Amino acid sequence: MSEEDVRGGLRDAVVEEPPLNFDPDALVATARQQVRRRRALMAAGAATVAVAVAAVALPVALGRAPAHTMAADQPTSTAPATTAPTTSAPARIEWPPPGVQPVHRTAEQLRTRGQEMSTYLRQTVPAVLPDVSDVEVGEFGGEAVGDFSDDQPSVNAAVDYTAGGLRYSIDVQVWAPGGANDLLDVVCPESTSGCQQIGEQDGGPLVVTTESVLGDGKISSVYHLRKDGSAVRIAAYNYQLSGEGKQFGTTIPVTVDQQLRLATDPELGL
Amino acid sequence: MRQPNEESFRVFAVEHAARLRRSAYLFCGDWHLAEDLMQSALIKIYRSWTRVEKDESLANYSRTVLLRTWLDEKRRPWRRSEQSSAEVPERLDEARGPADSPDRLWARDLVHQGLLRLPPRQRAVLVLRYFDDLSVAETAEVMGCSEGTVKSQTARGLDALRSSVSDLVGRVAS
Repeated sequence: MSEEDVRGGLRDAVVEEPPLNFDPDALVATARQQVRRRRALMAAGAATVAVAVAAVALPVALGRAPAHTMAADQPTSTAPATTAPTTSAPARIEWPPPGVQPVHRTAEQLRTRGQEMSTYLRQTVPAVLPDVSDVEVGEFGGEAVGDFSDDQPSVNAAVDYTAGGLRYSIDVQVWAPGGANDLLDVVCPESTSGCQQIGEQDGGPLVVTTESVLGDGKISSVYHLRKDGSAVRIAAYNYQLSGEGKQFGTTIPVTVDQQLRLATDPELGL
Repeated sequence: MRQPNEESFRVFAVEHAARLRRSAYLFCGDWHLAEDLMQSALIKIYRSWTRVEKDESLANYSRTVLLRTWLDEKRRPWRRSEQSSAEVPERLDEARGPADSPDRLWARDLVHQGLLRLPPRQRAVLVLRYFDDLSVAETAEVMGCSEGTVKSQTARGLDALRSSVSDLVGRVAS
């Protein structure tokens, strides 16, 4: 099969396309609505942070001092409030930060880094989540577990655990500097029920989104958008990602504080 | 967004909607999902319009946004499944033009089905190179990777596509 056959095959594949009923007015109206909603949510997040902030107690085990702020009304927080930084979050996140230098890594480098992070997570997750059991940290990968390609912008791995007799998952996704430039555009407007900046750490905004999926499914994601243009997302689910016949917990057993501790962990990064 | 900006965005959207939907369909194999991906990509472009409007490579920017929108969709655990197992045509399409040999036309019908079996970034590089007719440099820009990566992904993608098509042919023959 020649390259010309590929060209011809792709052209033929779209010959019988259905009519395009594209309404630019409707599209613009939807886009306007999303922009307004995003601004409102960001403003609400900033106001919440400005009025009442509480620092997240960072794990002593990790030996790091708390530097970021978060809203005091995090419903799932179990960490005690400590010092209270008073800086208010910006109403609009500037992302990506200016002057980001993209980092290029080979597939082999990404594989090695993934293995390092998996090993680290096996030690760290039980310390951050002391109330859960049977923690299983999966292998990092890209489009598939263990699958890497040169210059891949991000890698991710699933962490499964048991709480209250049910299995749950956390997805850990790590972007290289320059690989997450449109992350905020992708994440915030598409979040079905909320997207909020809750402070920052080391000059990088912390963003929380919540989503409802699959009927009873819930996802809480915490993003640390870092100053070097890299990012880490810790997504906690009220169910297990893999496996047949999903069982949904009534809540997500992981708190936002715990997600923050992982998302801001400097050991996780590309 | 100011009205003149919004008007220029409308012009861009109308001009590029069909092209974006076709590319999205080649990525995902489902016209309904393709339409959603196209709309989502255009909404993202709208949000960045005042920044990117004057960009000379705006068309390629829209390709980047579409590609990322699709890759993001694929990462979602609740994502809709793709139609990668559509029926393989078992006989020739008589409506085709007479210029091509029957064997070649049949092979072409298999190309998209074969493409849908490839990993996403290999799929993307083949669509960008052979459907959008982008150069290696342009493809690298759209995919956010080096030209070397585009070349290696193209080579791997073509090999995988040939293998995939051969497999489909074998399935029909048996």
